[in-house]
Amino acid sequence: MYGMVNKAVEDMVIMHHGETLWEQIKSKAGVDVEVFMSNEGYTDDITYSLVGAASEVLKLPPEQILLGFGEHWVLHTAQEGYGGLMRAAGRTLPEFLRNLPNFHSRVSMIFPKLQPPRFECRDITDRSLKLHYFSHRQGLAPFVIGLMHGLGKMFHTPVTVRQVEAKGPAADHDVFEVTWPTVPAI
Amino acid sequence: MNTTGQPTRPPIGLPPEQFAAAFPFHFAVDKNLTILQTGTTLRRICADAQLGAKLEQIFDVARPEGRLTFDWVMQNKANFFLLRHRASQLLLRGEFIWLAENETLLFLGSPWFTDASEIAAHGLGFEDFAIHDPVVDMLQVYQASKLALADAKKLADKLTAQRAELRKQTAEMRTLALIAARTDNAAVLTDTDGKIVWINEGFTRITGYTFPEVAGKKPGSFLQGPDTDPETVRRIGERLSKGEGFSEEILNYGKHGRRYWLAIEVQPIHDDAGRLTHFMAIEADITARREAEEALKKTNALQRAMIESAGYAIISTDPQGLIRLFNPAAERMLGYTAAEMIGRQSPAVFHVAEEAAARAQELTVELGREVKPGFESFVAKAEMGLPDQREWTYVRKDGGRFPVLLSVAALFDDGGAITGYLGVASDLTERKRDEEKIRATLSELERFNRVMMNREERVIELKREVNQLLAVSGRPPAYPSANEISANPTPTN
Repeated sequence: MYGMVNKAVEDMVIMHHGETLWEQIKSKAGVDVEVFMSNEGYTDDITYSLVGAASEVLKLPPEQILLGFGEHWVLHTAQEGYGGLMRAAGRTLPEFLRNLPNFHSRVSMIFPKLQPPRFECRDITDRSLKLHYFSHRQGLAPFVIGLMHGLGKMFHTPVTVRQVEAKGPAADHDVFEVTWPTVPAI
Repeated sequence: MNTTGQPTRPPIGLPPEQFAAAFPFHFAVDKNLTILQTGTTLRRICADAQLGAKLEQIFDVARPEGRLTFDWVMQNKANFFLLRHRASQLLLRGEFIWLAENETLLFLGSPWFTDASEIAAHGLGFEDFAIHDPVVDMLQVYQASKLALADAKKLADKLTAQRAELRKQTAEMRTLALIAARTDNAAVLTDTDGKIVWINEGFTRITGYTFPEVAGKKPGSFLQGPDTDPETVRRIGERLSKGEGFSEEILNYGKHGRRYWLAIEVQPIHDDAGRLTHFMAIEADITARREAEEALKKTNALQRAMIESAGYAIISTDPQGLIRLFNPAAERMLGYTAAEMIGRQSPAVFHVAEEAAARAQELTVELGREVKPGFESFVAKAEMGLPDQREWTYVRKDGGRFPVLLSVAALFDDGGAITGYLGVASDLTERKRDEEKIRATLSELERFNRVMMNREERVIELKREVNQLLAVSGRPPAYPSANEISANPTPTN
């Protein structure tokens, strides 16, 4: 997993609960990494263990932790690393969402060893689109929903996210319906 | 297709809209550098780049260095050009292409940024760039490497801080290790099963065992012996199984059978996650203390028995005179219970005040300083280390009086300070009575002696009279010895 994801976990725990609790979570998860390098690949186990340990220590279900991480990623972690790019990637929520597939394609071009997820925007209207999320990883749908909520806050646009398809025997990927009120043209 | 590999007839002829979409930042000028055509985005962000405008009035050349003229451009068209839009300072990187057929100079390029934040600052977004344009990719690479550098710096700072902390800890550890190794106490580190993983020199000194002999063994398996208290062993086992620390005193046996007492303090050691990893034991040899305690216990028992069973009153006080010890003989003698006296009364309560006052006066003269009546009169000599034994009158609780012979001694600590006084009093009532009896008997005997002596003198006198009567009649004395006594009248007792 992209080091930035783990960094988001770290940032969020430290921001809300302090360094001591983060060290406790890291230790509980058996993770001995001093600093997560944003663009390095880490085994997925690390992320899952961190989420599991955080869930245990913070006494919150893992889905809620992932949701929080997604939002935190957009509003804090990615802003610190890619703030300029994120601002350039869209002046409105729909514009940003349309750029999301390219953004991840570039990640896979620039860092061939990483296995970033793939996004596709379909059924685009002026008030909604269907975001198709392809990932070989399991259980990260709440993280994606958290990302969408974070983007809604970033663009000051009330956003509704509904998972309309879940990866499983019947579908090879998740689909989210993202809706927002009409955005005035810029 | 000809031999140059190029098609003879151009297969692509882009209409202006599509060309503008493919090259949103392009412009075309004639030989006078008058703008003939611009890309849509360029027109939007460089408002003065309109058709008919002069290129050199709108743009400066940042690279290569030179004056923007048609000829100079043509001379340098093998290079890339970096143009600076004078009004917005936007940099455009690209190349000039001479389209001879149209006599048009075409500039194909796109904005040059060194930070992604500049895109939005110039009012641009990703959608303003052609999809094939690698500028955005380059910015993402650039941003990623900046991020990697920031991460590396964060890591380096953290590692530097950790190294400093580590150095400090190492120094502390070295000191602690030295203390652990050199201390007289035994120190033992065990794993969570209680098996030894480390011992210090103190352990070897106390037990006689070296590390290779005990490594991996439980201390209890070779240190305990027949007189080790099984209850203590059970308590220790219970606390260890719960992962708890404890303090105990236990009798152990050394390698060569020496019995020794240990005061053990065991602490569980946990890792950062709170998992038990080791037990650490610090053990002090308290054999001398335990033996001294045993001896003291025996001495105390003997002392207590002596005090309890003594036939004379033993009363001790603190330096101020408050009673601290009042033995059963004192209770019997004075009629007070120890509970009534200890911590509540001074010996003055059972002394005759007048006697104490008189004694104070005597001592004032004898010692040459004022001695106050009361408790001081009982201890003034003793506190100077002088023997003080004399008769006093004690007053029983019921008011009855009786004579006692009281010896008073001051109690000193190691520093020579008085910690209290000890008084030992024996009842003189019987002795006084006996003395009286003896005195009366002697007096009676003297009287009897006197009577007897008078009687004997009278007999001698009668005998002498008989001798005188016989002498008158010329006869010899009947009691010549009486005459001899008369001649030498020394009385015989």
